[in-house]
Parts: sequence; C-alpha cells; structure tokens
Amino acid sequence: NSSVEADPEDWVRIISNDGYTFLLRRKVAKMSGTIRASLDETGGFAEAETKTYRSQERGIVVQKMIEYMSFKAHYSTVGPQEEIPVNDIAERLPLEILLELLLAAEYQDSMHVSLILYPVVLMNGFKV
Amino acid sequence: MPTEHDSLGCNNNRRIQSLVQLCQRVAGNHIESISSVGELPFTLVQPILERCSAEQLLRIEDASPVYLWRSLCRRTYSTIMERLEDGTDAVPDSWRTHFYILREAEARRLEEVGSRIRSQRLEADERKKKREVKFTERLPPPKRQRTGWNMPTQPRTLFQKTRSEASKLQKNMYNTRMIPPMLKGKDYRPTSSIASAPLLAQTSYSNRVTVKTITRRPSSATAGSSEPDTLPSKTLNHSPLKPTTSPSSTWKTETRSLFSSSNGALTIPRKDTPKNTQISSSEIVPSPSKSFPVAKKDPMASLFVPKHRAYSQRAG
Repeated sequence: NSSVEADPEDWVRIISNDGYTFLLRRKVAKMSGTIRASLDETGGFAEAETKTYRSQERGIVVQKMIEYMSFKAHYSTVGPQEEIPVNDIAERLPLEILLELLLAAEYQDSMHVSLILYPVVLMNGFKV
Repeated sequence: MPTEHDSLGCNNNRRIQSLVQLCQRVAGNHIESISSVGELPFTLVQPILERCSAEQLLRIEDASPVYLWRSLCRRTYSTIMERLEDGTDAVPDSWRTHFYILREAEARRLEEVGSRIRSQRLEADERKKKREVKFTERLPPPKRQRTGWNMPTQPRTLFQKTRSEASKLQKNMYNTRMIPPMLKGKDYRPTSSIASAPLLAQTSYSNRVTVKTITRRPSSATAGSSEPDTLPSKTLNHSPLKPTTSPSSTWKTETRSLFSSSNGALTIPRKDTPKNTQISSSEIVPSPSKSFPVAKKDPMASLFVPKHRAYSQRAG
C-alpha cells in the first residue's frame, strides 16, 4: 500500500483556490516541503489518501510554482559540474505576479531555505 | 529539504536558488515596476529594497518599518554611518531626513573635489601649453650674435631708435674722420672739422643702411635736422630690415639698419657692434666698447678691416 503510494512516478494533484487542477509527478511535487509533507502518508494527512493538495494560491500562481518545482526537480539530478541555468526559470517569472509568487513561495516552507529564521512569518498568517 | 531519495539531488538542491530568492532577484531587477510592497513582510522585501535607490524607496515606502531608512543610510554612506554607530555623533531622530542630509553633504564634497580636480587640470594644461610650440607673429630673436655674446635684445622702441639715431648723427657730425667710420661709442667729441664729414666710406656693398658720403656741412649742431635731400638716399639702405643677423665674421659689425629714412635725417653708417639688426640690437653703448676697445682709440686699426661683409658674403 504505502509502496505504491510512495512511487515517485506517481501522479499527484494540486488544486488552486480558484478551481484549477494541476497534475504532476510526485517527485516534482516533493520539491515543495509543504506539499511533500501533506502528501506523505506517514504524516497522516488526509491528502495522502487522495493524492491531492489544495493550495491557497490562485491558479496562475500555482502554475508558476509547479514550473519552478519542475525546474528544480530536473536539475536536482544533474552532475555537480554542470551549470544550472537559473536564468531560464528567472525569466519565466512575470512581473505581474512576482510579489504574489514571492509570498507564496515563502509560505511553501521548504521553498525558502531560511524560513526557519523567520518564525514570525509563519505565524503571521498573511497568507491569504 | 526534500529528498532522502537521491543524494545527488541533495547537493544540487543547495545550488538551486529557492523560489523566494529567485523572486527577490527578479524583483530587484525590476524595481521600477514595483509600485508598492503592500503588506509583504519586511524581511521578505528587504533584499529587494536593498537594491533600490533612495528615490525608488520613497515610492515604495508605504508600510515600511523604520529600519528601512536606517539601513539605506548605512548602505549608502557607510563610512559616515560607522561614526554614528560608534556613538561619536548624535543619533538622528529621523533616519529619513538624516539620509537627505548625508546626501547633500556628499554632493557638496563631490563638487568640491570635482572643481579642485578641474582647476588642477586646467593649470596643468596651461603649463603644458606654455611649453608647446606656438604660432606667433613675432620674429624670433636673431640667431646667435656674431660676436658670440648671444644676448638677445628686445626690439628697440621707436624712442630708442630715434635716440640712437640722433646720437649717431651728432657723433658723426662732430666726429667725422676721413678714415672708414668706425665704431664709436656714445660719446662724441666735437671736432672742428665738421665739414669734413665727407669721408664716410662708401659702402657699396652693403645692404643695410649705410654710409654715404655725406658731404655736407651741417652748420647746426642739431642732429637730425639735416636736410634730407642731400642725403644720399640712394645709397641708403632701404632693404627691409632683416631681423636676423647675417652671419659674418664675428668682429664685423653691421651697420645699423635703417633709420634714416624714417626721420629724414642723416643716416650715418654706423658700425655697430655685433648687434646688427635693429631689432636685435641692444643698446649700443656698452657692447661696442667691449669687443672693440680698439675702435675708439685707434682709428687706424680698423683701416684694413672691411667695414662690412664682402658683398659676396652677404646673406642677402
């Protein structure tokens, strides 16, 4: 049971707050600590059963986050010598949603490395 | 951090910038497009705002906490701010106004330095100009004097010219001897034989003004009042005065150029000392005596000395 669900090639689902559904492989979804934790059946979250994560962000923001996660998942596996083309993803971030994305990214805790230093941010609940 | 599953991924995850960092970086590049940071937590936007200039900061300032201006001050004027933090200066109440104060002070200092540099550069330029080759209308001083004294002289003023001419006239008037005119100093001794002026040797081969045998009997002692007509103006040297000294033997003195026509007075060929051209000639007085001590006392000494350079030798 758990082995099946732990399959990284599995498809999981993220639903935005405005009703958009995104399908992505588990290994990509795991790039986000929050999502990973919620999808991880050992954590006991309900999402684990349904393999669905309900995001508080709107569709367009979720889409960009997934794009980032894909980028990250792909380059996680390259050799240490290879250069990671950060610009590829950077230029795909439109200014119109940039600040919103910034906020959302931080909320997705493990998308922000140093979140730990800002516990205030977590508790703040500025997350819509 | 994700992933116990692939160790490789672990390493790379650290290399890959987080989305937060990416967003901050992109936003920093497009600060102009940010109208407000709204309610974003300061810690999040701080890296972005750090890349702002003061003007941009003003625009965004709405909900920013106090530290914003303080850190901007620190960043922009770090050296001054260090003093502040050491407690040597009073802490400003408003970091924002302090920032403006600092900015003005900085601008003033830059201005001062700028103008100092500018003036230094101008000075250096001027100095350089002085030394560089210039176009000028003034004639260069004549080449080395034939006597080798090498004393360049100022162009003689009109007054000087007139005076020397006049004195020459006087001298010649009272001091004419039959022998080739020689170098005479300023002193003139009235001689009885005024009338025997005649002998000024003819210098046919000179291009400069010179000698003409003037057979006149100037009755008046006043020099310069002579009748121009008798003056053998033909022999007069009319050639334009060449400023350059013609090279010739050192002992030779050239006649002084020209004066004659100008005042219509008698021009006497004068054996000048080394200075030859009028332009270059300095005071006649002292020099002649030096090189030709002989001249004054021993008229015979110059007997065999050609007064002027041989015609063929003339530079023309």
